[in-house]
Amino acid sequence: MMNLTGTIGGGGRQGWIAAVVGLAGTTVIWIFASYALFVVTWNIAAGVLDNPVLLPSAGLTLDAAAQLISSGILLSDVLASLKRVVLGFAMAASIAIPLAMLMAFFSTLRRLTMPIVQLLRPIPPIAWIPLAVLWFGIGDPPSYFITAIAAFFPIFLNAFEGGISVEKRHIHAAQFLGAGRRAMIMKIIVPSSMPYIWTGVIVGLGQSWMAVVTAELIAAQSGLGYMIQNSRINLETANVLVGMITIGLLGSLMVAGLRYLERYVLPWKATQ
Amino acid sequence: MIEALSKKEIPEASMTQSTDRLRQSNRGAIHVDKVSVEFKRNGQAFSALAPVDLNVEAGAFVSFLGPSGCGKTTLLNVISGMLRPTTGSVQIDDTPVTRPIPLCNVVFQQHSLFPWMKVIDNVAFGPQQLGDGDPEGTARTFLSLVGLDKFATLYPAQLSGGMQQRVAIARALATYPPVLLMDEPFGALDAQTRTIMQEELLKIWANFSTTVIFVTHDIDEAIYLSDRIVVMRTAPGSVKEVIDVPIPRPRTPKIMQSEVFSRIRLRVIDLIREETLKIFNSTER
Ligand SMILES: Nc1ncnc2c1ncn2[C@@H]1O[C@H](COP(=O)(O)OP(=O)(O)OP(=O)(O)O)[C@@H](O)[C@H]1O
Ligand SMILES: [Mg+2]
Repeated sequence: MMNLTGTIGGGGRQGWIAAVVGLAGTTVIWIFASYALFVVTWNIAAGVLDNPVLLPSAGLTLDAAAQLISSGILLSDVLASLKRVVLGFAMAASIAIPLAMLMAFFSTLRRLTMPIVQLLRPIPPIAWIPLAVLWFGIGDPPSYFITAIAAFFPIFLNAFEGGISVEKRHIHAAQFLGAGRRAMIMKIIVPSSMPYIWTGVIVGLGQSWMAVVTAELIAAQSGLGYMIQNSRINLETANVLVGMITIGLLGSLMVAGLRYLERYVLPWKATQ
Repeated sequence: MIEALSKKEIPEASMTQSTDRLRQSNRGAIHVDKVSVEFKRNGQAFSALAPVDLNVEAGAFVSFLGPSGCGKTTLLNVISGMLRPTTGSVQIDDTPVTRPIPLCNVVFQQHSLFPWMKVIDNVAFGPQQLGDGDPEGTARTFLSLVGLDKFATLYPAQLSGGMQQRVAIARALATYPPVLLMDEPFGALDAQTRTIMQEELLKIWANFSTTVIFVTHDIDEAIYLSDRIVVMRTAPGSVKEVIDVPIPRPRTPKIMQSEVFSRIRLRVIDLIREETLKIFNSTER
């Protein structure tokens, strides 16, 4: 009971921020210290190189960021990338989770399809880009495809692991209590697999976010990946750095956000 | 609460349990007919249960005693439908048991509560599945029966081992199963908690028609609780002797000082010793 209030009730504002940044137990001060160290190292390196095309200083990068923000370019690129990630990720999850559950419980289906999954899994999302462009052209659709591919395997494999690790004693207990097929799936199998599914979702979202940048480098004309690529061509290195840092920040924020949501998705884990 | 279960939404498996309920001992007779179980061990067939014949009358409290590995859990698993016997069959009243059905429920040493459900939802799950009109209300009734109504909104992991076992018992009883199988349910508890749980179990059982089969290694526990004790033969397991416990109820721990009690205890110790020695002698060779 103590533990429950400790994790859910306690923490307050600081705890919330720490959780969001994904450094449990670390105070905001440490985060600032860490970022300060990063910026100082960066500026020393920039000073040594003394060439803003190779490595602009943090100040120059900040100026570039201010301009990209005020012109609205950064926001529109962020939104373009986010949309591709969210849609691709959602498509992947909505196929991967039910499929994994079916395969965990129907051995014929599992035997028939698992070798295919094992064959496709090691192919990196980037290797799908040529096909994606051939099939879907340039723009949003190929990016949806790539982000979906990237998210699919972590979600699928984790959910499958969850499905096969549902404990016999829980299945039996539910049968003794008269559970029908529906209750067995919705109230026993799915919640029992949920910790695994959730891990897959977190990893999958991260993968998807990395893949969208790759896809946009080649197959799109908007988004953070496109912006980075375009800035490189124009030798606007500060803009490249702004793009990279935005990717890093948003990626870690997304994962931290999911980790924060975990206490609502897996409330029984929060008490342990 | 009680009437609710007898409505027509009840799945076929539980139809027989729906009409008669509290304080009636005409449900839950167990018929074990020539049940044998073979396991594969390193590719070789290993006989865990020789043909076992056993009849338990409705409403009885029966304990299984026997040396470790003699097949108590295996027999329980067959009776509950969790394990298909190699030969033979099991019936509860007139229903053949071939898979887990709501005619019976089990409580193990290691509880099988659903960790993702709060205590109250664990107990309400069965009544809800079987068409109880007020599953929450039923669950609360059973939780107070085991003295845990104040812990309804916690998760199982937040309870002590003894409390988890009480929730498991409440959950098992909340669907009024004609048969309750218990496999060393208090095995992991300390001696004090164990004694209290035994008394609680007897009190609760007195209010139900439920037939109980109780597996334990604790001879005193078996005598204190049971109407009859089944001592099992080992390798392969079968029924060695059935001993009546003619001690009137309600019982209190005081009966452990009585002469009948010591007489039965001595007899049981002798029988188990014979079987345990058999294992030792066979492994020495
Ligand atoms: N799944 C299995 N595969 C192979 N052998 C098994 C299996 N389950 C049980 N056995 C064997 O069957 C025999 C009976 O086991 P069982 O678990 O029923 O004994 P038990 O009387 O419950 O013992 P304990 O008192 O230690 O719980 C043992 O020799 C055991 O090794
Ligand atoms: Mg056992």
